[in-house]
Amino acid sequence: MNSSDREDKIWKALKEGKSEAITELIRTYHSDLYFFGIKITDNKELVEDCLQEIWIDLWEKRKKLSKVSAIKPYLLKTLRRRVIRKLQYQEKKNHWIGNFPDEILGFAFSVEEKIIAQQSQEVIQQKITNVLDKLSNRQKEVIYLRFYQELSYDEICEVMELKRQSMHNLLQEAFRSIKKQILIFILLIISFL
Amino acid sequence: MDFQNFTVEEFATNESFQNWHLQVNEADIAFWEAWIKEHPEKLDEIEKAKVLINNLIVAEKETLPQEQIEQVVNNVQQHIKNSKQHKQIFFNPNQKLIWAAVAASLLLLIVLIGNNFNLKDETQPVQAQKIEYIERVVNRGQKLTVSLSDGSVIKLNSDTKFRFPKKFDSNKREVFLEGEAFFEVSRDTTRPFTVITGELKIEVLGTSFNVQNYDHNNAKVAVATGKVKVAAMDDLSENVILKPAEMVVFNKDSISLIKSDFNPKEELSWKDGVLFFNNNSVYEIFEKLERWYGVEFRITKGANLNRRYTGSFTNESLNNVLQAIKFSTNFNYKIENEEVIIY
Repeated sequence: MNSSDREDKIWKALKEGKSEAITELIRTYHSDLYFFGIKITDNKELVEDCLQEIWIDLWEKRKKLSKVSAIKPYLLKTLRRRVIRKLQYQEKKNHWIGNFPDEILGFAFSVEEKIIAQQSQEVIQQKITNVLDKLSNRQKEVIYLRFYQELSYDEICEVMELKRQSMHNLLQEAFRSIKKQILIFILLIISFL
Repeated sequence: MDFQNFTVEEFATNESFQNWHLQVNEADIAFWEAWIKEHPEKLDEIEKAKVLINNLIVAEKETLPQEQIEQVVNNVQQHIKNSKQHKQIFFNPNQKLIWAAVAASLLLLIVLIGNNFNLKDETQPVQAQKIEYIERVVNRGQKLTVSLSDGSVIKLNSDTKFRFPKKFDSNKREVFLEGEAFFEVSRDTTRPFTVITGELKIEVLGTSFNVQNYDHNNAKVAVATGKVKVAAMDDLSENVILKPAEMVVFNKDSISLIKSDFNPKEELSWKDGVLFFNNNSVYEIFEKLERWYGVEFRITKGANLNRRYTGSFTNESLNNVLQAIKFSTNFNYKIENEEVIIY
C-alpha cells in the first residue's frame, strides 16, 4: 500500500540520521497524538511535554529503533504509556504506585461537535452525547481509536495493550448500551407525541 | 463466521462490517454487498447496526493550527541542532581549536626564543580556554567502570550518564552525573573534586561515596570513607557535611537536605553486583529490576502486589530473582522478550 511505503521511507530516513524525518513525523502525526493525549488526561501541558520528549527520544534513540509495522499505533502507544508513567509519578512522586490505566487514565470525549451534519437525526444524536458519557473510559477509548483515529482492531489492541477478545467485548458492550439508550429515547419521544 | 444469527450489536461490532459501512476496505465491501443480496431477511438488523455506527462517525476531524505544529517542529529541530554542536565540541576537537593550539604554541615558541631560553622568566604557557569533555552513557541492564586522569575510579550503575574532562584543570576537578555512581576519589588537596548532579553540588578532597539521582526520585549521597560536602545548587548557603556512614537525601519538592544514617548493603552493594532488597515494596523492586536487567514491567489488573520483600541476589538471572520474590509475595509473571508481565 502507498501509505505504508511512505511510512517505511520515513522510518528508514530517521534511522539514517536525517533530521527531516522527524519534521515529517511531527507534521503527519502530532495533531492526532495531541488530541488523543488530551482525551486520556485533561492536563494539556503534560501531553505537550510528553510529545516533545517523544520526538526528541525518537531522534536520540534512532539507531536502536526496531522496525514497526505501522507508525501511528506505535506512537499512540508510546504516548499512552508515557502519560500513564507521568501520572503515576505525579500522584505519588517517590514511589511506584499500583494504579492501573483504568484508574489513572480518564477519557473525556463526546460526539457533540459533529452532530449538526445530519439534521434529521439531530435530536437523537444530541442524546447520544449523553449515552457516551455513560460508557466506561476504556469503551470510549476503543470507540475513539476506531472511529476518530481510524485504527484497525489489531492496532487498537496494540495501543491499549489489550487482548483481542477483551477489546471486542468492550466494543460490543458499548454498542449494546448505545442501542438501549436510543430505544429509550425514541420511546420517550413517541409517548410525548 | 456465521453471520446468520448475528444481532444488531454483533454486526456493529464486527470489524469487516464496519469497514464495509465506512467504505474503507475493497474486500470487505465486496463481501458484504454479496452477503446482503443472499440474506435479505437480515436487512433490518443491518440497517439498525448502520445507525449505531453512524452515531459514532465524525464529520470533522480535530486538527491543531498549523502554527502550533510548526512551533513543535522548530523546538525539536533546535534541540537536534544543539545536541549536534554539543558533540562536536566535546568529541571532535574542531579545526578552529586546532588552529588556536598551533597559534598558541608558535607564540610560546617565539616568546621563549625571544627570551633566549630564559625559562626563569614569568612567561606562562597559554591556557586552553575550552575544556574537552568525554561522556559515558550506560544503558539499562549494564554497568561500567571509568578511570579518570587523576587516578579516581568511578563505577557507573545502569541508566546513567557521566561527563568528565579529558584532562582536569590545575585548580579543580569537576564532573557531571545523571543516574547512580560510586566514586573513589584520589586525594588531591590542591584540586577539590566536585560532582554536579541535578540541583546538587557535591564537593570532596578525597573519599569514597555513592550518589544516586534518577529523574523522579529523591537524590541521595551516601559516604563510605572520608568527608563530603553537599549543597543544593540554587541555595548554596544550605550545605551539609557528611562523615562516613552518613547519608543525605535531597527532596526535590521541598528542596531540602535531610541527613540520616544508612544501611551500607542497601546503598552500596550494587557496585559489587549484589541486588539487595530491604523490606521494599514490590513496586520499588520492579523499578530497580527494570534498570538492573534492562527490561520493562507491565502490571495487569488484578495482580496482588501488596507484599514487601527482603533478600539479596548475587549475579542471578532475572528469572531466578523473580522466581524467588514470587514465592514470598504472591504474584505471577511471564517474561516476553524485554517485557515482564505481572498478573
